Amino acid sequence: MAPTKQAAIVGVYLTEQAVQIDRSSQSLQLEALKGALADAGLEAKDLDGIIATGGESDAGRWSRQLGKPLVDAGKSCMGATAVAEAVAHINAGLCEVVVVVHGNSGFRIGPDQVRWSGSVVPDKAPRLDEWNASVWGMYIIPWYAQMARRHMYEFGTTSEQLANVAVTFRHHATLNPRSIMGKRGTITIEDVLNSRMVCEPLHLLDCCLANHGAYAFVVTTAERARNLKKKPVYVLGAASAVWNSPYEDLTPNYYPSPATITGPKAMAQAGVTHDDLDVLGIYDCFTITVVRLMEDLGFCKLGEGGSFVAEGNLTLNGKWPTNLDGGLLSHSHNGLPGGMHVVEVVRQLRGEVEPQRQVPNAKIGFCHDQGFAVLGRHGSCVLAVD
Amino acid sequence: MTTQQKPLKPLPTPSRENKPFWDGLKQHEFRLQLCKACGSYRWLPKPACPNCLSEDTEWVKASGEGTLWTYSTVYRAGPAFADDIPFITAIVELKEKPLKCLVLSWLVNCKLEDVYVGMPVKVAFEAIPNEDITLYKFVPA
Repeated sequence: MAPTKQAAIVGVYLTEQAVQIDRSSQSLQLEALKGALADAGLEAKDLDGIIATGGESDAGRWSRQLGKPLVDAGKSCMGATAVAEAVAHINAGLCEVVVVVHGNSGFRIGPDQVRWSGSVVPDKAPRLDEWNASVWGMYIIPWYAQMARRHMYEFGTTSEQLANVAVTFRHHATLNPRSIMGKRGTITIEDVLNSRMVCEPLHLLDCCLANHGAYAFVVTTAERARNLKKKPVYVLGAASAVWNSPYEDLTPNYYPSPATITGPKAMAQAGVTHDDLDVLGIYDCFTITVVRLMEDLGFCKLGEGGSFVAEGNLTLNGKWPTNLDGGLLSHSHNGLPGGMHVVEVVRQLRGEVEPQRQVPNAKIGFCHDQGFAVLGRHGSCVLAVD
Repeated sequence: MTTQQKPLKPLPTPSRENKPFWDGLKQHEFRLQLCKACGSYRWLPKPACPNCLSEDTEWVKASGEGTLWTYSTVYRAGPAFADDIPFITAIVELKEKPLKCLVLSWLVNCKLEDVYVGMPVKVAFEAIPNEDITLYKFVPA
């Protein structure tokens, strides 16, 4: 039995992605929203649902901006999770055309997350929530570094193996003229290992970018998609799950993560297995993130992620070409970047990226996003073209 | 008003529910919630036992002992932590069972080259000057 076409992604758009963009977050988001609608051949009046997070954006503000009530169709980390939320709302009949939009021009991923108002440093220590990890000087990178260290301890994973992820996605970035790091050229494993240690065992080049930019994509019914401008990219499966409170409670164990739930669910809905997938978009905030996700999504066994990436499976000519835009590591991480992978996989399935990074005849794609350090929140989706 | 040249490290805000924990630190006790229904310890503190959802709980003095479950040596940190670089963030698995109690803190009084996953550690207490709070850290056992 052919899988159900649950919905379709009909429009995608990326603004410029750059280290600094001298525009407001809202300006970037508006450009992305208009661009995704135009890509689909739709207008703002066609929208009736929105998923917008990050910065000061939210569904309520967008409803005022667009001059009409909207369905608040989700609060997600904006990639495959947002696809799952949009599809659920559309199939429940709550809305018909959902735009997912994120962008910002103020994002930093560094350790200076604890800020004070005003210019004078207070003479009393600032008080945070009861279990806020910033008390321990924690920020995003130490969380993932701790996961990498544990993985090395349990499975013998090496820094060289992790470096393969950064090397592969940098190569893809060099094939993408719009990527931030591509113009700097390819890197070697030695380059990654020789980059400065940020939070041991993660080097600078094990870490993603932190930059400005926006994206948007539009989801609607499969039926409506057939009469729009571009070839529909159908959603055949989508799922999400959560398993910790962000940056506070610790998942009792890093294994298994909820990716072991969302991946099989999305693939079962779609009636596909790993071998059917032509192109992947996998959340790559750090090299270790990709290693862990490939394990929990079942592309390899738990503990074998290091050797799996070192074997070249994720390269353009590998078994599962992944993040052909350069990913968060070398294309762009604009704050809540899960949707970047969705945009890239949609373009791959449409066959409209630059020839040098196009997966030939790609028919079925898979996207996975995660968030809530570490591996706390997940979404998976299977996308396909006729 | 005097101002510091350097920002002070942020501190947690103890809740009324978990006052016994924070009071325990001042008395150099690391306390855990023990479920009176099923006998599970839990961390972080929660209103109910994640094993059986019972709210019948008592705060007990824990061993304060465990092993280093994972760690990171941090070379880049915010201005409040600049003087501490490099420091070791640590996740410690406490002795108490059966649920895994994984506590995030720092490993101190330990040379960087001596740290390893699985090393025995014990809790230490740090009263914060000019503040009504004591924090918990870990040291080699």
